[in-house]
Amino acid sequence: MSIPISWYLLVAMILFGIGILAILTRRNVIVLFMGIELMLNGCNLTFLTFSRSYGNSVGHVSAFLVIAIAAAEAAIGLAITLAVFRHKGSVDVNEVRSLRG
Amino acid sequence: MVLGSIHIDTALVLVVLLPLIGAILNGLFGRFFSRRVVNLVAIGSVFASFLLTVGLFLSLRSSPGDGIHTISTTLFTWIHVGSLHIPASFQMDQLSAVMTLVVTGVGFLIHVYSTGYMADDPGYSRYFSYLNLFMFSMLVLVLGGNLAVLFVGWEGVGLCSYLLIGFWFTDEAKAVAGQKAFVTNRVGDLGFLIGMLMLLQMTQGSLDFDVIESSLGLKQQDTLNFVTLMFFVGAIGKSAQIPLYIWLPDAMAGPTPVSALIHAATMVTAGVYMVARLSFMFAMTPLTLALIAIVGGVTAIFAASIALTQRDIKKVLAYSTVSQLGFMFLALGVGAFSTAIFHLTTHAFFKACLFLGAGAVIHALHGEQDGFKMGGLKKHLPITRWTFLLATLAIAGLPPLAGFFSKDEILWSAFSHQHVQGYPMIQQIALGLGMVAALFTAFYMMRLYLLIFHGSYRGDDHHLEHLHKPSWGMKSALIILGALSLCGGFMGIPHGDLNVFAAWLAPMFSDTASLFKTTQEHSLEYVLMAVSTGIALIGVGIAWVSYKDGIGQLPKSLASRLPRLHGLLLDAYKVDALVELGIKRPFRGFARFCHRVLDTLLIDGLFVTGTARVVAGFGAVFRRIQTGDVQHYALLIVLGMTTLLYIAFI
Repeated sequence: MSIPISWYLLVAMILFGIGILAILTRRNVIVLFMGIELMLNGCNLTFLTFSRSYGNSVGHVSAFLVIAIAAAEAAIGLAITLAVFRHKGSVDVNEVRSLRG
Repeated sequence: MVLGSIHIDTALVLVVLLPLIGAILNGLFGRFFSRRVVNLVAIGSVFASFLLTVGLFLSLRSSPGDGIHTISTTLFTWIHVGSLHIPASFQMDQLSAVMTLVVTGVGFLIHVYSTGYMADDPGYSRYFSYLNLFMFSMLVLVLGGNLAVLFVGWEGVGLCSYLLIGFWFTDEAKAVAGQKAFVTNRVGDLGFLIGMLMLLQMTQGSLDFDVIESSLGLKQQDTLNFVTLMFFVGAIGKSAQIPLYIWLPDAMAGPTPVSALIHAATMVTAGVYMVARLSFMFAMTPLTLALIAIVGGVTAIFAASIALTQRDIKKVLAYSTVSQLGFMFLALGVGAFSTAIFHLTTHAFFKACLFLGAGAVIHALHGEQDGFKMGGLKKHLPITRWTFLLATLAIAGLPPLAGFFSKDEILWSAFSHQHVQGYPMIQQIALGLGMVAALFTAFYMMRLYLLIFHGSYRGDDHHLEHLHKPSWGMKSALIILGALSLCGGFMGIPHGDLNVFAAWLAPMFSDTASLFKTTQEHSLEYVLMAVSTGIALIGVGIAWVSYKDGIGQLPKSLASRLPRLHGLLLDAYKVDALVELGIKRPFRGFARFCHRVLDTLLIDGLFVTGTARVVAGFGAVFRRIQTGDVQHYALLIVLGMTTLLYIAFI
């Protein structure tokens, strides 16, 4: 007996939703990154689910691509965060709003 | 036909172009030349032009037959668009030959005179360059083969007039006088232009005089009336008739030889020439002719009455010129076209002589122009005095001097010509105006002569001690013009074979002659002559009694008894103030309105600054979205995506 596809998708959606909530509500930049990772992984789970259910490997490829890009993004993001911290002495996003019009 | 060794067409072109070459040479390189070279270029070019004109005149005279003889040549096609075809062509016929002789002849004398008058002026070469440019423009005007070329000359003389009135431009009043002349002329030019464009429509694309003449027959009277009226407006501007005469008295700000050449002898007669040139058209419009006669007559008497009291000797001569031009228009108005040209010619002689004489006096007295500060100069300036006297008697109309014949013929034409169709009283009115104007003329001219040369000296003694004697160039010009004032009238002794002037011009006006038949007995002309001589004698006599020993009792008591009339005449009927109030001030108001409301408020305020304000306003509203808060942006992205997905899938 197999687990129905909708369950996988439900988990993926919950992951994605938690990620969005984290981004919209938390102030710590590090936590925002974690939220982004959660959203990416939610997406990855969706890719894999459909890939398995249709027996098509394109989804796997996409998931690997996302993982690779997420790693690069994390590296750049953390570097920027470090620079901001050195500059402002804080990683609170509310402190960083110099682009205000 | 060959003129000496030069081909006749080349000669015609050279007549026009030589002064232009002189103007360019002196204008561009004049300041590197010595005065002698400037003289050679300026006077040489005009004299060569004059000699060629004489040659052309003789060859016209020797042409066989009685009709219109024409020498014409086309330089190049000027405008050719669709059916519009205007060549840059010159033509000389009997009428333009007379004009060209006057222009180059008097022009040459005035060039010679100027070498003395302008001898101490730092702008010597500039002056002669302008003067040559004027000669070129005037020759284009009189020799133009069609109306468009004539118009080029017409505008050119206006430009040169502006340049020469404002020649001493560091004096603001003189610069302003130049502008006034130019702007006033432009008003008339607009009329000329409108008339020309309407003619262009009638002739379907040609402005040649013969094409115009042949295409007039079928046209409606109203249109034709309007066209001639527009041309007359042009003539009013250029020839200083009421109401556009106001620029001419101010034009006296220029050097005196300029006043003699441009504002007495040649340019201001361009309107007369133009009407005579288009006489075939004006003859078909009795309404315009009647108007011309009345405007001419009223101008003659109006300007003459102002000249009665003026103190500035150049102002007297200026108003006298306006008045004499009025006489010419009176003649045109009663259909005496060749008489008008005759008066134009004699007027060029005696008025140029008067202006040059006045110039010699002003030069001698270091720039003094007030006649009341002169007097008794007859022993100091004998040649000037005698030539001035001759010209004075000529303009006063005493026989047998030049002005007598021409003025008398004008009055005779007004008296005797068949009535201008449908306007029976015009001629009588014109005659009356002319008679009174002639009386005024005799008086004010004699007054001027006596003020300058008789009585005792009333001015600054210092000037008299250091009197500038006229140079030989000034003297010779005065003597020649004085001689012409003396005998120039014999060209036009009325009746019979002796009237060579009218006979020469007769073919030009043969078509119109039948419209203006003489209705009176010729013997009456002698009566009229006697009357007009009597009038002239009365005028001269009153002046003699009043001014023979300085300013006499009669004018003093008249002035004190009629102070308001005297003041009115002295202020030239306060026309300048009226123009200021009625025209200049509203125009300035309108300009101020345009500046403050249209320009500053509407264009600058609404269109330019307004656009920027609107953009800035939008920016002020929408910049609030850009909070700089990452989470805000994220929220907006989420909301946006959700909305899009909602629209796309549900």
